[in-house]
Amino acid sequence: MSTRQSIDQQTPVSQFTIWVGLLGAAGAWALHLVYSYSLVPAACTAGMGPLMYLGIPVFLLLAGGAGYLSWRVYEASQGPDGEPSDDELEAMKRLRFMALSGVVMSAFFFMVIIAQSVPIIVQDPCEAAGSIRI
Amino acid sequence: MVQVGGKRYFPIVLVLLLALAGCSTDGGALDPRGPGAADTATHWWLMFWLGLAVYIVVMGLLLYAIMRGRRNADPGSNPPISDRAFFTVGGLVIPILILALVLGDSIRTGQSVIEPPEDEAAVTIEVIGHMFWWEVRYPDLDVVTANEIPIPVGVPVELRLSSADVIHSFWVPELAGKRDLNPGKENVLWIEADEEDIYWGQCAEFCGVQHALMGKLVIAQSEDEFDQWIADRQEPASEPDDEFLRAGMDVYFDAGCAMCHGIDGITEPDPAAGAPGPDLTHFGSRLTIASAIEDNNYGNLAAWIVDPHQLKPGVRMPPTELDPDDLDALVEFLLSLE
Amino acid sequence: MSTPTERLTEAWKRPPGFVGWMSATNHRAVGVRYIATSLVFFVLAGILALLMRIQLAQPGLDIVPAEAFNQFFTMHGAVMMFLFAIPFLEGLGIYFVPLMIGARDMAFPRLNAFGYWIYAIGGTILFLAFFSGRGPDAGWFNYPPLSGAGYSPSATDVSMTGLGEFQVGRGIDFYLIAVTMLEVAALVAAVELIVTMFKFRAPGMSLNRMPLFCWSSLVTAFMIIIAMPALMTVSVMLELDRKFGTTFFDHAAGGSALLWQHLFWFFGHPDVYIMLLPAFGAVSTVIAVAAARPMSGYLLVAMATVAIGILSFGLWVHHMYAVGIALMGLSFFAAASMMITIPSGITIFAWIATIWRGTLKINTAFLFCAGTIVVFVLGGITGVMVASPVFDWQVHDTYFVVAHFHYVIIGGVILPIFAGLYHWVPKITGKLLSESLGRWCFWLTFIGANVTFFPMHQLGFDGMPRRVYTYLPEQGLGDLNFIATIGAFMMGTGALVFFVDAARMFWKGKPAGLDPWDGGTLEWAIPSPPPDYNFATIPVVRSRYPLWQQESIEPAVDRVPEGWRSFSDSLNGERTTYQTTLLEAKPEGRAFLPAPTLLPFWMAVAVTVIFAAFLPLVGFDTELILIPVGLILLYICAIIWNWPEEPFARSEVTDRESPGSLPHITTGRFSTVWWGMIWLIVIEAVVLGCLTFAYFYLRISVPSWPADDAVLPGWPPEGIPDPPLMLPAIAGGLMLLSVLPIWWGVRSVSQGNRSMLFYSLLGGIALAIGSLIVSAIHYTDRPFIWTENAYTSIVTTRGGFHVLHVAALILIAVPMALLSWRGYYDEKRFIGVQALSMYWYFVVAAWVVYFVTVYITPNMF
Repeated sequence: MSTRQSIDQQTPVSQFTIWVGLLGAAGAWALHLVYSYSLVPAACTAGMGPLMYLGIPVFLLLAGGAGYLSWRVYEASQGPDGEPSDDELEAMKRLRFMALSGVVMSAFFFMVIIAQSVPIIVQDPCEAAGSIRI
Repeated sequence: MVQVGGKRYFPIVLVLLLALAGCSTDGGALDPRGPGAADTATHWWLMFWLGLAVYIVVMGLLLYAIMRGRRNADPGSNPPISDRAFFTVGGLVIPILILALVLGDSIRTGQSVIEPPEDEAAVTIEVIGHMFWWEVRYPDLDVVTANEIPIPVGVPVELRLSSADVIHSFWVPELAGKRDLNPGKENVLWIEADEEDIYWGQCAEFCGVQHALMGKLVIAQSEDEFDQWIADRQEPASEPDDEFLRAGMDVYFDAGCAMCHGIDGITEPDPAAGAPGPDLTHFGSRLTIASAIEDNNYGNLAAWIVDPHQLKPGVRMPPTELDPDDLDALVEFLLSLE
Repeated sequence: MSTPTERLTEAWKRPPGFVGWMSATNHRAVGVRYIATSLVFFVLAGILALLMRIQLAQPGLDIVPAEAFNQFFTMHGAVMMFLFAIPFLEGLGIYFVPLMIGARDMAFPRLNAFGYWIYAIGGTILFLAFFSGRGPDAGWFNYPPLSGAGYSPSATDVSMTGLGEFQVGRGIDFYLIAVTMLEVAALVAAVELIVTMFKFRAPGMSLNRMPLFCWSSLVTAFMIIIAMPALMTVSVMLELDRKFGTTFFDHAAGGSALLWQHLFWFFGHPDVYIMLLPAFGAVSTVIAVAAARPMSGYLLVAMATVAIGILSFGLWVHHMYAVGIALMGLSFFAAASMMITIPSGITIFAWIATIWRGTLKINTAFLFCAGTIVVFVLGGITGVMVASPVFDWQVHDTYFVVAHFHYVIIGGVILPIFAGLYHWVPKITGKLLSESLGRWCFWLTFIGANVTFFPMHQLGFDGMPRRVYTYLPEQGLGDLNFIATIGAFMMGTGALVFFVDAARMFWKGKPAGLDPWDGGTLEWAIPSPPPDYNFATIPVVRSRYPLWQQESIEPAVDRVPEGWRSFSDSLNGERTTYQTTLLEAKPEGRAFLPAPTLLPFWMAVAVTVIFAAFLPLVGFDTELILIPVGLILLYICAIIWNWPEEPFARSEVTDRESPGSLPHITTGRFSTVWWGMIWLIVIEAVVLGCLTFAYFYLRISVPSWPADDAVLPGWPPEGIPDPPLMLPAIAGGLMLLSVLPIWWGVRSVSQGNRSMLFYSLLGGIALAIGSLIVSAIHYTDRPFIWTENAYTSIVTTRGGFHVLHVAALILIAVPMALLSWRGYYDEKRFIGVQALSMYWYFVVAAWVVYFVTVYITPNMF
């Protein structure tokens, strides 16, 4: 719709960036969980432990990247030079909301990935509470 | 109203919490008698004190906020700290520190609890869950029993857990945490008892009608007693010489007991009869019947045989109609299997 | 000429009489029905709880027999969750979200009514089964093998039981079917809520101004969409096991009971937050009103809601700590489970900060919110404890956990629900509840809850497992259990006081007026109860709490930019509301909403007929006839539902527009139907994901089958050859090819070429039918039957999923081809075929996943 596109053009960053910044870190966390959890049996029996270690920086980088995107959006939301119109101010406020939300979400899921990395570092994948691997 | 109510209620919470802290001395998970349960209890007390501190702080904040909020005449009067500092310190920094402590301690404790001992297991026991009783086998020692699990005291014992039907869970709170008995998947659980005693446990995963009364006993004995117990149990039973007891054995066959219940040296259960019942080879020396629910004595056993569903509705053992004489002989025969 | 208000009243009036009542689709009618029905179920489940507490008051009581007790706790859990908490909160959302965002109705009113009927019928089926002695008795978690046909035989199939006279497990089929129906209802409501909040927010209500209750309803709706399909999938798999003898969960034939646990808890854990989050939203609303100031930390609270919603999907294994999974695997979930306290904690701190900074007026609704904090924080703290695997090994499945989650749910759901009732019921009925009775209700419930559940922590330590109908006197559990029973009756009395209060309100409640609490959100700007059209003038929103932060919520026309003008009229007697953009809520058009109809009811009946085929009612073969009967009924309903009302009367949609007003938008990306289709596809994608997960889980997790020493089991198992590639590839190739005409057809019609659409649809249908025929040849040619083992079961089910979807495409496309032949679709009106094309692309993509999973991977490794 034409209205919608014109709004898009008002904001200096794309919708894609906003949404990736907001939800990217959560996605990185989900992938990290699935990746690490499904590697546990192989890490024990087939020596794939290093792959789990490798996952930590990769997914942290992904989450951090999403946070960086949001930060970029935040900087962009500081507004255009000169006298912004009321409409532009509104748009900037909305953008800042989305950007800050992205920063908060990314920081949180970054921390969750760190917390989930603790077992990888301090535990042996063969430690078994039973015979079930996953 | 809330001020009054809050003040009235809050001490109650404290009292209850302290009561919880205090009344944990008579059995159960907080009265550990084995290393697994002891480590877990230590871990709990760390979390308890941290949790109590957090709870008191949060409730204090709430109470203070309510009192302050009620006094605020004009909206927007400022609290002592900014929202940002409040959220950052209270909602982020302090929780992270506490959670890091709890997670670290949890992982450490978990590792120490499941770590198998350095030496070979002194004893390996297979525990097989049935609806609604526990089959107990000592594979290396060629002993089979049910619902009562003698172990030597002071040494780690390896339990190999599996199920013949649905999922059950093995739990003796004073010795260790629980582990499920899955059909087709064998789980391992190490238990160790510090003192000679009888420890109660029951099924902890809902397994059907009689889940509630699926009990078991772990009987920790000195090494000598345990060895003696094993030696006794390795003897097969033999057909009784006494005429009365022989009559009891005949009832055991005629009434269909032998379909499900084997007696080593006399008969084995018929696989075609479906699910087997507990082995009765040394039944007379067991402390309990009906999966550790009742004492093993003449009266209880007779009542159980006549109608098991009176005590435990839903168990698979059918009621048996017997002449008083036959019942008498059967019970005496069973109790003679020492 | 009538006035605009009269025209609005006329356009939105509800039809009279019983049939009119049955055909209501208005969101407030549906919302009230959800709320009222769920409260009935709440009472029933509460009575079950009291009966259980009587039985457990002392050791060895024989008041409720074992078989009945097992049905009671199963019903109590399932009903409180599926029939009370979720529907109540969804009903609250259905009623209040449109009022809060300034809309006149929801995006799909008829679907809304359909959801309600499915919910009501499903709940009724479950209770009919229960009252006729066939209640489910394997727990709400319903673990196989206990819930499988071997240990819980259907009523019509008694020969399979080994339990003699003790007939148990007869209610499992009713449970699986009822729960699946309730999930259909929940999913419908979720899609409804999302699309409504995406598209119907009042002009100016950008996402950063949406009320927090709406944020939490939005997140909850997303969670329902991701979580519920998992339970639906696994319920259907279990029902296939029970009804047709597949072996998904039968370990002896390569299945896995743990597969159920994984998929069930992948639903089951988020389900807790599905109940908590909207309740939190209600608390945020009530606290802000009580403190007479906007919520502190709006952004943090909104993001905490989102973060909780996402993170809750990574916690499910913490319900499975005791099954014997490798400790490192458990620790991942322990870490995630503990981290979820951070967003939860921030929410609570935001509440405290709001109270702190506000001007507090303590009323009943606020008391319940304060109670929420007191109770929920304790449940949260024990939640961190049970998140520790080693500690959980002790307390898992004991009364400690019972205490923990009742603290969480009473603190996080029940008390907020009462807060919401005291806050919002005056808006619904136009009358105030009593403050003094309200306080009785609060203190009884609050103290009762603590007296009931606090001692249970200790009971857990003392060795009392969950789900026991009795315990032995020697266990020494009697005293604490007795205290718990007393507390339960206090809670029961508290709930009773509420219902007395509610009855009193109808009789002599004081009128509520517009805004009894000086609320800040839009629902308080309109009369109580609101008129059928909600807003005579849809307001322009410029702040988070328009009633507090705007001088006037009526738009001053000259201050509003062009295209933002609110419209107050009902042209041609139509039901219309604003349609706005997702982020900014800029008006982009008017949405026209359908009139009340009985169709949703008949549709629900049709779906019920299909589901009834799986209930043990008469005999195996007789029941299966219901499937085609229901499908035909459903198809007829669906065609009538979607048939254009006056297909050819207005060939030009622009006729509907008056000069200067907003366009009528029905077509294109980001329209309501487009979004609805997206979420339907997401739901189906989750089902697809679950089936794919099941396939690989069965393959890798059962290494001991059939050979003990195999690293990977034979897959396919010995005796079954690797799947052939030729025929499936041809069938799939035809489907891939069919994308072309469908894409071309939609492109043509959007450019005004109507006849091309017809021929394109025909081409697509022909290719799909060809694909079906090739598939049929392939399936009949396979050297196994589907009930042989887990491999054949999952492969066949996976193939069936594919075939059913292709068949559905054809069935949908045929009437559309007919319409296009008669020239109905044009460049302004082609959302129907657009939605079909979206679905078509999804089905083809799903086929690619299917082909790779089932045909490529076994040939690769």
